[in-house]
Amino acid sequence: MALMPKRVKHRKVMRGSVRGFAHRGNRVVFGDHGIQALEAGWISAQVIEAARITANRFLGGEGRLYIRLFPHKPLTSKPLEVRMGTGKGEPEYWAAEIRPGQVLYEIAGVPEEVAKRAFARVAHKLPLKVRYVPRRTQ
Amino acid sequence: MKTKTLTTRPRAERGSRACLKLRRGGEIPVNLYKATQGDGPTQLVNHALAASAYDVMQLLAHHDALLEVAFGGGKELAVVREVQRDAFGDDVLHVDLQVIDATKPIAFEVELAFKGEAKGVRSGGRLMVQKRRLAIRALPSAIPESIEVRLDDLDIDQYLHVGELTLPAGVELDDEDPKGLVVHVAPAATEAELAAGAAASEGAEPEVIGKPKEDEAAAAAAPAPPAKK
Repeated sequence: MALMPKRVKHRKVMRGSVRGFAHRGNRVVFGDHGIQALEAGWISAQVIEAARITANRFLGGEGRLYIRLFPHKPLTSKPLEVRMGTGKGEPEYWAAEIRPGQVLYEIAGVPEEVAKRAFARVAHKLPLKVRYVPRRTQ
Repeated sequence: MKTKTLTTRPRAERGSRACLKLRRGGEIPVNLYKATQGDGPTQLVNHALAASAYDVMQLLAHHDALLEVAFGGGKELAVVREVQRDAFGDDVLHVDLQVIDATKPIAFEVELAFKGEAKGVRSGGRLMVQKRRLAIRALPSAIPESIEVRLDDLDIDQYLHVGELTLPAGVELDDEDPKGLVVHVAPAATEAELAAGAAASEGAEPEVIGKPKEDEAAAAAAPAPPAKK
């Protein structure tokens, strides 16, 4: 099941634009290894879930995977073959807004090589350019 | 902990534009704070310095946090208190240093070095590290590079707390709860845990804050029963 908020203030929000860099959530905090976005964009809840399943299947119960992103943004769409107008479409899916620098997933308790291979599989699922980042002490 | 030397020069210009110029020239702005005890309250003196970006990156890469800072003809023993990095965590933007007295204990955070493989991990458990740095208080000369934590005897569902760590001589805990968890060995993840995602049903919508629920709205919209005469 894909992630989504339990309570929201508004059912629909404007699309907005993703500007600037991630100045929070841009360090590996919980695990030893992380995967960091190098581009801005949206990652849908389905993609977050697909990447999680991929990483967990590869890890096979070893270590621990941390998800550092959450789909807060509702995205709407209009049905096919509908005339323009008559208001905004209905919420279709949820997505996380990602800024360059944000750490998306973290892995703890496995060697670096294993984490890199798991993240390579995760990267195939993601619609953004990403890179591996180790935990930094300072 | 070994002491490394960082050569700096005083910088006259302050502000973000001056710092930007400095970084473009291959230097990093460094602030050296020194507490001076006079008759009155403790005064904090700030020395605005600039250091070679390469030197600073080399020092930080090797976890050398105890420094002998050379500036303006003088030398001070200092520790790194804060490092500002760019959004990607690659480049160092600014470093804050604090002058310390070699004869007085200081508060410091030291890395925990986990050694050995836990018994529980060998039998299929997962090592869950909760704490990676430890706040200690020690003389600058007694600060260790890292504090070793032996994991060999930890079995599944066993815990290691801060109070059980073996600290080197001359080192004591600083503002750490002895009952704080350092590491524990959890059982291997079950299939159900691995498959568990968010507990949301397909097509469900989140509750909208401030909007009455459908049944409440319907009840409010329904005509009120006629009052009994």
